[in-house]
Amino acid sequence: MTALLRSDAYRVLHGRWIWVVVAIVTFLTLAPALLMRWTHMGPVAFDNLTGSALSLGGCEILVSVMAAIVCCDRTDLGFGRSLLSSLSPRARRVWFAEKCIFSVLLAGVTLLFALALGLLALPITGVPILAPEPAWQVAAWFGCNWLVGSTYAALTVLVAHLTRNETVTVGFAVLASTGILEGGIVIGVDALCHLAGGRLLDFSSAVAPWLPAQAVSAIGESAGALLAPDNVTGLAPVVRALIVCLPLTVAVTVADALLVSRRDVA
Amino acid sequence: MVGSLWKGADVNVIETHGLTKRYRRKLAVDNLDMTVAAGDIYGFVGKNGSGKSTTMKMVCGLARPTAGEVVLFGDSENGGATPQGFSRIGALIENPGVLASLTARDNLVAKALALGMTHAGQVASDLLELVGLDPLDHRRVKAYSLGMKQRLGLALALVGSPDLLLLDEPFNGLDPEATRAMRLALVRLNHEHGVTIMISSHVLDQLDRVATRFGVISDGRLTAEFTDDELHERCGSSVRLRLAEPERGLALLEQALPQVTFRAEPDGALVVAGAELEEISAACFQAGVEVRELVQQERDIEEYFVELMEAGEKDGGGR
Repeated sequence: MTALLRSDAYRVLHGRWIWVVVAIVTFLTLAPALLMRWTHMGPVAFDNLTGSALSLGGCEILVSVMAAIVCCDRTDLGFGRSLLSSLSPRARRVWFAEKCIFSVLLAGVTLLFALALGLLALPITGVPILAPEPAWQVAAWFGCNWLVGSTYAALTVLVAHLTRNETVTVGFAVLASTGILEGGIVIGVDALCHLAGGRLLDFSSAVAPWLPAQAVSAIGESAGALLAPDNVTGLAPVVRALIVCLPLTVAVTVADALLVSRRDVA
Repeated sequence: MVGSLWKGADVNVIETHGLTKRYRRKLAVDNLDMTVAAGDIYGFVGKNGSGKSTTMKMVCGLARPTAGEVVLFGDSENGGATPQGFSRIGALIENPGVLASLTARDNLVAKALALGMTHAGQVASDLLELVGLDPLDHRRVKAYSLGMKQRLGLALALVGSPDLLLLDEPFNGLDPEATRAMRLALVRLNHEHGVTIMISSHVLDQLDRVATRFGVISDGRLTAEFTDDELHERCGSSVRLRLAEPERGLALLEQALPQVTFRAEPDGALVVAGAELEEISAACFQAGVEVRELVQQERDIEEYFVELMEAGEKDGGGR
């Protein structure tokens, strides 16, 4: 596993697209901060640190697309086939699991990089923060962001290995991480329930709080919103994310390793 | 750097028993029994879609057999895997299997790291030199010609010092010089490092120059297996004979030379195998047969393989 992780890290660091991602994140983080400083057009003060002064919005999309690129780099047709033919059946299962784990780690590194740049941008803007959260809240906020991003990344890897199609996988990555797919599925099931005689929106009102997209929405608000229990479930979004995303990520990794690895290589 | 001297071991590196692969309605490989001994360079010959690549994929575990089994290195349980969990196989199947956005060296280092090798950089440089690529070439692989990609594919297959090399159409896209270099590299791997090699190729004259044993596959079934010596015996010299009265002449010659094989050509000529030109000439003279043409000829190996493949198709026509 460690050897495969090292190989993937080498492959990613020696590729071009990772530096494109670095450039995009740097630009999107530092350009607004510099603009704010030079033009003095921005808020007089930030209300709090997370969600207001520090935003990781859009990072879920980025990490999912990165997972798609890592796993669709002609996995079946090219290098992956050459490597898989040199692995024993057991090592092949590890290879599939490693792709999920690598995507989770890549998501963590990307988010950490975005967070570090966001913190660097704060002194650049020169805008004061009125009520910064305690460090543990920022850490929980970051952890939840990583957890949700990892879920989308692992799902993207599974789709990549199932479909073996880069276009479909990147499409899935974008639709899933923006919440469009979840919303579409929930609305679809709602419509089916209604056609079957049920009440409209019954399903979506029951399921919506548990969707990862809801956690993403809370992350966008602030750490406070993420940690505050709501009236419907009585649980904070971070707890709901933990209940849903962690088992989902593990299940996806196990399914990829044990089931998808049994398929013939194209 | 490459391979242990496995050649000396008296073991079958590949044995397949009733190997079958079905894709929905298509039977790609049908009850195939094949044996590749340690030290062989096994030429695997067949038309497009005859099941060569599918067989190779099943041998290296990229495809699961529908029925039958593959025994590698005499070990039916683990497929000859090393205790570290790596197989002893290197494969180049259908395409070179390279990461086009990286350099050739990076491709090799990435694979060497994945196989847990400690001196990945040195391994990469050595293998690039072995296949005739420049280790200091910083161009990305996407800028390479097909021949260079094929050579890189071979180098990738050699990472991890495999004892068995599976090469599917390794001569594809190579110019004559590159083909020669590839051929010499394969022979050197076999002779100096004891690597057993299984090659499928349409370039039969190249295959004939390297292979020590041949297997002919047709419609998923192995129709013939023979050694290099047997091939050259079967494709040995024959005599082309044109007679003034072909039917009468053939009857007389069959009586005079009962041990000889006669084959009628579409243009009316006879191809005689199993007798020297002088012997046939004397028999014609003694039988009073008027000869219009008498020529010594070599049988074309390509033609022989095509005959075998077509014979296999006719036998399995009901499939």
